[in-house]
Amino acid sequence: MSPTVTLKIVPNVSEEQILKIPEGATYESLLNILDINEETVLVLKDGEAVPLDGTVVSSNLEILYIASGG
Amino acid sequence: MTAKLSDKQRSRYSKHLLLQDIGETGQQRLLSSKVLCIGAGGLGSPVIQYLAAAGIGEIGIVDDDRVEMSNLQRQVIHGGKPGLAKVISALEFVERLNPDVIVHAYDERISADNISMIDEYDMVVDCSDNFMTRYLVNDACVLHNKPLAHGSIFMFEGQVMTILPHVGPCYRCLFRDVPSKDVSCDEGVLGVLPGVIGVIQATEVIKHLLGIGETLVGRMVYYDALNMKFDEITVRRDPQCPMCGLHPEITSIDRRSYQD
Repeated sequence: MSPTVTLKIVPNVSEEQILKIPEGATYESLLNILDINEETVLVLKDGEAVPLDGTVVSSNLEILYIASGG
Repeated sequence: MTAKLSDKQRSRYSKHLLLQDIGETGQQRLLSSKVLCIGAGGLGSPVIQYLAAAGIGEIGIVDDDRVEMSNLQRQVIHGGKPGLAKVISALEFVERLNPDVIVHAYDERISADNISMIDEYDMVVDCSDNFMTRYLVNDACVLHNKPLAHGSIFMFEGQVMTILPHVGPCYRCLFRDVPSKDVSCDEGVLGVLPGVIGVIQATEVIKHLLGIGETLVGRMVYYDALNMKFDEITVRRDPQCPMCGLHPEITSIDRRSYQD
């Protein structure tokens, strides 16, 4: 069954989205679907950073942009 | 052997001396510690201010910028100093705040050519404002086994973590490669934001030097000022990390890898 994820992208985009993800998709492919450069973000699953080659499962995901300002 | 505290120092640091976890021994340790602050801007200002107030014995400050009027909305140590080198402004600020502290001012940009200066210090604080410097500082700290307090800000949000090389994850365990596009304060930044993040960095430095409490090793604190939320992100060492993984690919600082 295709996993369903609740997705929040921070900063800038605060609204949560509920997405159905193709079965077997990786976090890397999810970022591709969302057109997000994987170099610039952390993917958090239930608050924990996950490797991008991991398989997406139903969960709360947060995509956190890396900050460089000082 | 560390010198005993003078009467003036006992008075200045009396609130530290009252804390069981610090006391006279801890204060002496702070007074004999050396910390390098890379950047004297938004994050560097509160870091320098509080580390100096706490009595860190020697503070190195590296920055090649001059104070601009637009800095003063958040860079609280540079008031009344437009045009002055930030490291000189910072040095003058510290001299006024705490004569116990020796400041080493480096009016230069940190680079592959001078990053070895971290060897002279017990801990490094990254208050820089661009990815290239952040990767350089991380990589050098891992190679030189130097503890690093990382902090960064963007608009209304900030990120802080402490890197203890080969013990916890490094910056490249989270973000493996330098992003091709930088994001900086050109986007605007809430003036008080670096105050919050910088003070957390300074707190981490003091805790690490004293060996007290739990530092942010393996944890990133993410601060959202608009919603006044602090989230904690668990981060783990990446066995594939090119810096501190099982088979490191980066084994020296090659200046060609750290050019804008």
